Amino acid sequence: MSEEGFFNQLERIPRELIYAVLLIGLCYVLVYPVGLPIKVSGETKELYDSIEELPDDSVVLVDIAFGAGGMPELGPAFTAVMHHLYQRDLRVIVMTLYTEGPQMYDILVVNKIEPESSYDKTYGVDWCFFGYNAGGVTTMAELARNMRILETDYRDTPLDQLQVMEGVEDYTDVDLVITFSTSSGGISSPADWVQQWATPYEVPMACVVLKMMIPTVSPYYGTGQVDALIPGAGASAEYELLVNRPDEGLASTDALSVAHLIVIILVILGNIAYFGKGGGIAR
Amino acid sequence: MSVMIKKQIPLVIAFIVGVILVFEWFIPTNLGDAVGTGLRESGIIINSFAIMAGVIGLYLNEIRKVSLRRDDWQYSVWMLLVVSLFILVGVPFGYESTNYQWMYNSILMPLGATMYGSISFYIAAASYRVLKFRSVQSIVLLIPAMILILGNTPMITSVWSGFTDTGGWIMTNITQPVYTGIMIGVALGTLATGLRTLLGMETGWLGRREEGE
Repeated sequence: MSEEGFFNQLERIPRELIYAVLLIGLCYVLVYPVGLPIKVSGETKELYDSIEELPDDSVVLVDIAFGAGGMPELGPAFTAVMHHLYQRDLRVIVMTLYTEGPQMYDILVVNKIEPESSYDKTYGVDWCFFGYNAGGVTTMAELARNMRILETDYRDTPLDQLQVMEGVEDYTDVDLVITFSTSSGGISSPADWVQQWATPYEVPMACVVLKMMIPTVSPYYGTGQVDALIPGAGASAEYELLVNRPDEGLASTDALSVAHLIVIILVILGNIAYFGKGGGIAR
Repeated sequence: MSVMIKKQIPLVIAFIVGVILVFEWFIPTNLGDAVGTGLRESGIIINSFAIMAGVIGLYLNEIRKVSLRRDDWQYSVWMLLVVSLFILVGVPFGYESTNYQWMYNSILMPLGATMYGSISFYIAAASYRVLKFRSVQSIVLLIPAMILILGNTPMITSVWSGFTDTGGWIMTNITQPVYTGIMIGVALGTLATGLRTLLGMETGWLGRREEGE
């Protein structure tokens, strides 16, 4: 094969081959984890510290703004952070403005974390779940002024009968808001939370978002409107380490590395082929 | 009469509601607070009904598409079947029922995860074909992209944190200011649109108007 023929071949690697290499690489590290040490980033530690520094009996409002599509990335991070909240003596109020939120709550909190058996927590005393509420940003805005706009939780128990809601009337009673969001705009996006809670009322706010959303949320983090900002991918593994609950986040770390490395190798191969064929840099 | 109902009354309602909410925010009074709360609560209730209206609209639209045998009508049939199945199980038994949970966990969850996971395959193939040093602009894009990818690769960062630090610098000093500028532009546009809507100059939200309306 001539040199040019080789570069031609190199530039035309069939996409099926790329998919196959990626699939094999991902499967291999999932079956045989490399288990390299993981360094906890400053951002992840920041979220951990913001929860750790809360005094006992503080109220944390957790917003589920992801569904089945976002669960692979945000599910592990949500689980790890919820473990941390249950490890502490905090009052946790879970809410969602996302139609799939109740399913996520059932799968991750009720069936996976199992706060009653794992942490000896009692529903209604240590935590509650508002269930799905329509209204999007309007509901979010009104909740800041009056939490009792929602009369019952998802089990139709009046909020007044829940011990965890005692003295929780509006934003002044909430010590931290954590949103787990796949939404860059629309229903329950971090920007909505910043506009309706963090900026007007200066409620401490943490965001756990998809990695690709980090650039869009980071300006709020840079200005201090968001106190902690982490992506689901990667940071979930770090958080699992911090709360000593190894799970899916850690298991997927090697897969993340392999996927990234394969992309880098492909980019290098693509460029070798491009320059090998005589391609240049246009001005 | 038609123009009055379809255009003028909604515009007047939007103006009054908008002015009340703006004044409630900037000039807080007990009366304004009570009226504002009432309006927001009404908005939430209307929004709940809008979901139902959306489902009915979806059915009507898709049934029309099937009956007229428009392009890809088969997908509409499939969607109507799936939506109906979830409604038939979800409404009478509730989303916590075993049947609904099974459907959600066995159908929606794997599909959602697959859709999300499949992106990585497309990204890998696309980056191979597209990310090339073809021009000065592409170099400016490609080098930071490579640094950020390497900085977000746990295998690399566990050994050397240089890429993470450089990536962090890029995010803080380049990405953040650029996005801040974009967001300020979007905010100004939103403000202008809000004012235009309030003053009745923006009528797109009223839907498609017939000629003469």
